[in-house]
Amino acid sequence: MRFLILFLPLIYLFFNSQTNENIINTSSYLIINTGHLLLIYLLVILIVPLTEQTGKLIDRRSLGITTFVYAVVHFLLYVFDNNIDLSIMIDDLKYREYIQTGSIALLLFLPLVLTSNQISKTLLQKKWINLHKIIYAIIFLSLYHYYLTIKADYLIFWIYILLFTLVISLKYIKSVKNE
Amino acid sequence: MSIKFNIDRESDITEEKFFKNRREIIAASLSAPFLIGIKDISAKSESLMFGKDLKYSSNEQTNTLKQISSYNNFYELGTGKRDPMLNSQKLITKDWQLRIDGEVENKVTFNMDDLIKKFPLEERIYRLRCVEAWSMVVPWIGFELNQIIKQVKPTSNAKYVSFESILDRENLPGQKRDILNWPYREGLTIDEAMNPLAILSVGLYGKILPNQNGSPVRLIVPWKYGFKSIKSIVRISFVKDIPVCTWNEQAPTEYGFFSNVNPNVPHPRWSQKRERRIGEFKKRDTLMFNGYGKFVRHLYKDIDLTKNF
Repeated sequence: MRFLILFLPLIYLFFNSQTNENIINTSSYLIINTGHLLLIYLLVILIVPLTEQTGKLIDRRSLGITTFVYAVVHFLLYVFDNNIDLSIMIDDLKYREYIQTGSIALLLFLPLVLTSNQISKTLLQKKWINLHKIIYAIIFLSLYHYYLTIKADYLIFWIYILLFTLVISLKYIKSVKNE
Repeated sequence: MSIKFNIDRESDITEEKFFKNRREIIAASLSAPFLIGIKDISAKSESLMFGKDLKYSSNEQTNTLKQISSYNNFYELGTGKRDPMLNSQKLITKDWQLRIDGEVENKVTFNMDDLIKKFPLEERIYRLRCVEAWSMVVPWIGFELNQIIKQVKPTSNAKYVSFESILDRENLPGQKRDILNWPYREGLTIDEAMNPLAILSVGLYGKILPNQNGSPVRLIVPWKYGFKSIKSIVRISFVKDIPVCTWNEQAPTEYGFFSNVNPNVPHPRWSQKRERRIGEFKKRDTLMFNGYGKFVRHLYKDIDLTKNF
């Protein structure tokens, strides 16, 4: 059930892309908006443990796994957008920074997803916490990946930067207080 | 023999159906390549009279009016693809004037009625390739830019043609922020501007241009990336030196002065090898000069297009 709620935005995007006649470029609509959802989810991942209420409301593990699935969908949309043509994608991987950053961000999710179970958490203990700081690298790469796709209007990009800076600052203040 | 089409439809949908039929009729009557067009002032409609071109037009399936008029890059009306349609009323085209000046013998200012009366309109069905790797096929109505050039008689100093769009910070939502260095400007060499492919368009699908498509008059240079086809022009100047072009000014390493469609020269951040034709699922290969090589290739025979992109 909690997964279903987290997947609702994605389901909405696909439904809308097929039924809304105002969406002229379906592929681009889906790629752009799954990308925005990813950034928003990454932001929420940071927000959740900030307060007790949000911690209770949203299960962070489900949220993390959902975000990974969104990243996979975002990647698959790119693959289909390029006619599943390997040569084009290899070229992109060689020469296009936005593809490189996006790909690395996606790969960095893997250790997090693989260790998202309780057993890993118990086994790894303090290492687990450090390992999961990879999320900051993913966030940085994702923001840069988005930045590289913008032609001139950076307004929304700066809003993301502002929000991430705000949330990360709050987390830092909280951690200092707890010490 | 000639056939005149005075289109006055009730809805865009019927218009498109009619348009498709009409193309078949025209294809069957190969005898009328050009017709003199005048603006239909008697009707309240915004229909245009125009002739048919067979030499330069594509016979590909045209995109729908809906697609052409609701997926636009027109930053003056907002940077989202739908913004230009949603904000279209904010472009005020009433009493529009097009000034032509610089290195010419006859400086002149046209109002739109004069412009449309003066130059016979014809339909040009052109591919449009955006630098963002999507494309459409659009049935523009317009006339060759060289017709205006011949009339104003450029002097020997005129090496380039500079175009300038409307500046209206009060009404145009996109100009409230300095996303680009307003007003939008573009430029061509004089030889490019004289090329018969280069047209000034005042309409599409038989009617005057929707605001979001660059009403009331815009440039169409189909062998170049879409941003060269400047919209809502208020001034055309003939100049000696290479003119300022907005995207080139914004990011000179990404957008060159020529900006010819070229699958072999990638944008520094993305590939230009393929494009999505709006409405198609699979991407198609992008053609050199957007497929207009036979008309324009000679313009660049002494130029290294990888350096002068």
